Amino acid sequence: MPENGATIMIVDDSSTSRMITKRCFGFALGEQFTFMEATDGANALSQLQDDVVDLIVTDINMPKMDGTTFVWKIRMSDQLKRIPVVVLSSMKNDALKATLRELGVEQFVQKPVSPVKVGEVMEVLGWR
Amino acid sequence: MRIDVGIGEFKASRNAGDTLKTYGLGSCIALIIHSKQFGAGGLIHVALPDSSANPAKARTLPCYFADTGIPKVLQYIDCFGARKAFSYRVFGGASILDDNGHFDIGKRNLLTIKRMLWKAGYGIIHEDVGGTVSRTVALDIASGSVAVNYVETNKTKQGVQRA
Amino acid sequence: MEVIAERERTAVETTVMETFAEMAFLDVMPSNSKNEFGTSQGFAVNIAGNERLRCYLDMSIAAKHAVVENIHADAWTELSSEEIDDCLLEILNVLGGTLGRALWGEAVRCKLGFPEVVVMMPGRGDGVHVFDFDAEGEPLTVIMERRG
Repeated sequence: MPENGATIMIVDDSSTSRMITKRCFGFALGEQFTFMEATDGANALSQLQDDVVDLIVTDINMPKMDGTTFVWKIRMSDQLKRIPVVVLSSMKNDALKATLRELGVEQFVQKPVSPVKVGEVMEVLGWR
Repeated sequence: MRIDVGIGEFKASRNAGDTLKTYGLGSCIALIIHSKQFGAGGLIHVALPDSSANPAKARTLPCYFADTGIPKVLQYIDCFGARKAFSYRVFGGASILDDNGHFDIGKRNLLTIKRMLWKAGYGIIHEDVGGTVSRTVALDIASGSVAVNYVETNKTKQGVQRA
Repeated sequence: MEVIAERERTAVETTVMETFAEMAFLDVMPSNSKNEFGTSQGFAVNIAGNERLRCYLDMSIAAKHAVVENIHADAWTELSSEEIDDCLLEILNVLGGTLGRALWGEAVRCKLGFPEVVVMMPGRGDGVHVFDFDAEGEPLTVIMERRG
């Protein structure tokens, strides 16, 4: 985990889901984070032009730009492609997992998210 | 030394040599709190979710019920002024037939504890709950590790998890 | 009325029980009563996998209060109507995604629509399957409609 004050971007069209996700990360890892929030992939990309983040946590099913398109655009960007990505989604199927794997995303949390699930995934990423 | 925690009790310790232990959880829940920073830990053994069925018992043994017991745990944590320094883990809550012929007390216990903690701003980071096993758990104050014994019919398995 | 397979009934009931337990810390159990909600506003989401379904969710005002207050860890009166609607739509979003997987498995590509508020809920007529639940004493109903 980055030393002191890591920034996590949460991308989800639901404000409730963003709130739950923030709480779960706080509970699972402590509260030394700065959170940025985006309502969809396009909104997130726009914010990422100006700000640096240490981790992106994204939903899949979002209007304007969905999660898989968003992750693809991140991976195409020299500036952003090394940022680790965790996907949170209520949908979980082989086709989606294969698409995400091709995009280098192995960390998938099935909604409803909980501190236990976040802790397990972040342990794999070496943040806990 | 080993400190046994009975049904409806909450005990805590800051002595590195202590172990807090509770037996035969069944549908009961043990909420275990621990802080490496303060070298402190506690264990509450909750039997039922709601004290409204027996207010008299709730007055004499508040930790028997989740709704009157969990505030006692939070009160203890607040003494340290650093609630985020503590971890929260739950064990037990099995689907075991109770005296009234119901299986859902374990689930109700778990949901009540999770709901109370979430609403108070605390999150459980480890759950070893449900099933039909009875659990005996022991918290090592020095390391924060919890040893769990499982008993189901004639089968016994044992495991240790780290904090 | 079309008969629903036992496996499908189990998938719906398990999904509803687990979603409300994990997200809202509520003990929701299948009920034999026929819940009625009057003019209550409900929520709906489309799910497409092996077939196309529309899933409706409705519950009493008290149940909505419990769900929203538990998830937000805040009082109903402190929350905006946008926050309340978003919360109830999100629980249906999670329910819809989980249900797709429970019904068809992970081998089937499941597509989920965006959950929406609906004023008119379908009745207990032909073509819909009604699942009544008890949410700690409050009525909660899920309706599944097949859309070809």
